[in-house]
Amino acid sequence: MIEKSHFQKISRPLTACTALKMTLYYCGWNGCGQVKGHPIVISTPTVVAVDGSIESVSCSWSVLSVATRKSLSMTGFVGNQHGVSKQITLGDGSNAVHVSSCLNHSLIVNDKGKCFDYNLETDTLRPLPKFTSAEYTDEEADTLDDTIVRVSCSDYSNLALTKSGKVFTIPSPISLPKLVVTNVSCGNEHCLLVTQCGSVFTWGNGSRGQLGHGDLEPEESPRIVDALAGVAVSQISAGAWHSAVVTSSGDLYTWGWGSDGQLGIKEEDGEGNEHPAKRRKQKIDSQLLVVEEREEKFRGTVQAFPLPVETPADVEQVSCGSRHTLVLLVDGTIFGCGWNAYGQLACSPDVCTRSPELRKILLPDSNTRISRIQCGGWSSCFFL
Amino acid sequence: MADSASSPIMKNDTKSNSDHENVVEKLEASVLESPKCKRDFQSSLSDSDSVCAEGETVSKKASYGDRISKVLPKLWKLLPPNVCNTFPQLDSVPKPILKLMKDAEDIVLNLNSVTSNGDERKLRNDAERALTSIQGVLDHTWEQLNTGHWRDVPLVHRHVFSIASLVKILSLLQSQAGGEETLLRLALKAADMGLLLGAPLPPPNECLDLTVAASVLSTSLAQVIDQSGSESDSIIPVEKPAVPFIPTGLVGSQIQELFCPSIEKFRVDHFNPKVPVKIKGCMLHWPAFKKWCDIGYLQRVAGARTVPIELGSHYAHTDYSQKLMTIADFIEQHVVGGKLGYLAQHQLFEQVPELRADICEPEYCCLSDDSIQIDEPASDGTDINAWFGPAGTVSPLHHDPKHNLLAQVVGSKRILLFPPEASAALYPHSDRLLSNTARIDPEKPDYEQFPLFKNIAPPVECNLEAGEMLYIPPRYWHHVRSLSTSFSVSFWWK
Repeated sequence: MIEKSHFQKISRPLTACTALKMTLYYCGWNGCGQVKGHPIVISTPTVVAVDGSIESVSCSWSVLSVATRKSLSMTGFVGNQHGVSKQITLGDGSNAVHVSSCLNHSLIVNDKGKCFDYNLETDTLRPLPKFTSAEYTDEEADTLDDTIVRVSCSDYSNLALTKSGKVFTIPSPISLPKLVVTNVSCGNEHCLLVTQCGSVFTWGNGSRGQLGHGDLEPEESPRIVDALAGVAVSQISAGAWHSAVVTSSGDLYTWGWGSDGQLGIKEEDGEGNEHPAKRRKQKIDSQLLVVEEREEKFRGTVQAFPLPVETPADVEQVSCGSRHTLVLLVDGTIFGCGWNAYGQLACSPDVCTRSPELRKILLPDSNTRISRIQCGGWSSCFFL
Repeated sequence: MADSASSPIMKNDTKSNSDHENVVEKLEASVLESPKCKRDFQSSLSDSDSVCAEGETVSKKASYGDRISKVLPKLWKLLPPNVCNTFPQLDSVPKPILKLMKDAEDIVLNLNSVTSNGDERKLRNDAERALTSIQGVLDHTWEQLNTGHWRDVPLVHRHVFSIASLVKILSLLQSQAGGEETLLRLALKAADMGLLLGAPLPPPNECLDLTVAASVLSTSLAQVIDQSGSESDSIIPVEKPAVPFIPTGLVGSQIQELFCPSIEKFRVDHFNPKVPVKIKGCMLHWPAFKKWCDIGYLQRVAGARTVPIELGSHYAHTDYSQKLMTIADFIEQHVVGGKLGYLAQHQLFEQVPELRADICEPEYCCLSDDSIQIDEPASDGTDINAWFGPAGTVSPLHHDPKHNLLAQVVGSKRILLFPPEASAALYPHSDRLLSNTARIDPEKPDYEQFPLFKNIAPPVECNLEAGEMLYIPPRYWHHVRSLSTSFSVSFWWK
């Protein structure tokens, strides 16, 4: 399971520091009042008050959701108002263990493996009817643990993952015979999943190369990313139109739309300085790309299959926002690339509005050892 | 702030506003990065210095905000009162975006009603907040516009883009965030972005017309530039390239020429039987025929307008990309600078009505033919496109579904024409989106890869000079190369 490595890593400090104050840093877009008392653009990571140790964080364009062992809060555009903070009680005395938010709603999983839908516009919480066992054979139903462990939502799709590794486009199961899925991630128009064996599957719209199959075609159901065969992927993250994965050996691969440098691959500067990505790009059906670039309204490079990205050290975790990518390295440093118009790379947009190369992310307190990063929308979160 | 010239903020606007200017610049950069725009920002900071450096006299400047205060009332008229509530389609826009847009609109409306002696600091903060908010709306809507296929994007997102563009223009002009020229340039850029990505609003909000906003801003900007003494009266003539073009590959038979044929003759001999012809003497009365030979004129009328430019060899080549830039930058870097780049197939005349006034739709376009099937949604009237660039721009061999009159206004082009029957020997791309484009390059035919092309009948060749028009029938294959700096106008009709 994707989180395994992190759970292992942080399980030791966690027991020791549960009493300590948890730190959550936030930077990026604050136009919906995700962090109260701060301007619309937060380019210096700002501490967000959190009560208790953090289980899960999700940020979208409109809301910052934080699940701790004590509470679940949504701050931002809630109940038709900006700058509202809501504490959400799931009932039964249960706690949220995972949360995923998009523009209009959040999906929540509690410690009993149940899934909830929270409507941000109307401020209403709804337990989702159990959808997991419907399609199982009798045999499976007996043996499989169908409690939900993870959710991922975007404005266009909602995914849930069970403990036994089954994936649902809520409420319908996705047929993946004999595969045990360990994580799922939704982009604007595409989805990623990774299996126990380290294979990556993608599906959805591929018009920006975000599926990584070397073309720009859509895929109705999950299709294995052949270009990643032979490397065991441990971690995945989908941006709005790009994808990033980390292998078990700590390598980073990206693909999809590099409209703002979010692939971390330096583009040619328009003066004809070719770079490897450009050359390799031509191997695939270049004509399709050309047409697509014509269609996509004036911008960007489309990278239709995974390419390795050089990092200063092995990568521990990757997380994609809408048009930016952050990596946490094993040495504890954080690097990011892509769009920074709202400070999502933790530096002032005056300094750079987009970075096509990974640049170091500095936190105000350099002693803080970050163990998780979580991007979403035009924002980034860092926490212990 | 009707008379912002008296506002103390403006007295030292070069230094104390730099923070605020950064905000504007940053916002702008997030949409579009233009070296010209950056330079303008710099020069606006040290206006008199730069003028002196160019060795020109420092001309008298209008008091700050003078032009803007004249422009603002015209722009306010374009914002439908309470548009967020009188536009029911907006219900399908995600609420947080709508809320942010309303907030920005409210701030801007409020700024407008506050007199110049209000709390300056608060006013500036408010303007900054409105700008950042509305930029957030524009950026998020841009993401919506890029989700799914462009043609499937719900129209309402383009409506939002239009509304937000106008709110941005109003925010910018009331922000006092930079010099007058700079603000007008940024506002004009916002209007052009709105025109390129947005969509006109249906009644009762049709008064939100960004074409009008752009014209108003463009006119005002031209006056500011004129007053500052730069760029005026500089006639930039079109020059022939030093190295003349030597045709390679196929050479065709010369095209038939007619001098001002009657509509009836054109219909019987060419339109109906679909035979290409060169038409002479029919556009000498166009104002463009004289005016556009001076590139400085194009600079003055439309220099600050933002347009899509095609970069690379041609649209079907792997090095192809598209970039937004101002016409002034395009002229400097590509038309005069000679770097390959093409303002191609762009509805420039809808965007810039001032240039539309320089051309006349040929009367031949009134002929109609109901037999052609067109996949695109039916559009009334004639599509008029601009094609402007240096020598060496190429449209690869392709065909279009409509009748086409290609009017050469400036410079010359070489066109090779193949009849629709030749299609098989031209090896069209198999992909649907490029199926109207041939894989064969008639200037460099690869007979090994495309053997059928060897036995093809020679094409018809046309050297189109300024003042001449070429009739290209529907589905007729054509390969176009500019032989000099070239400005053509195409008329497509059914």
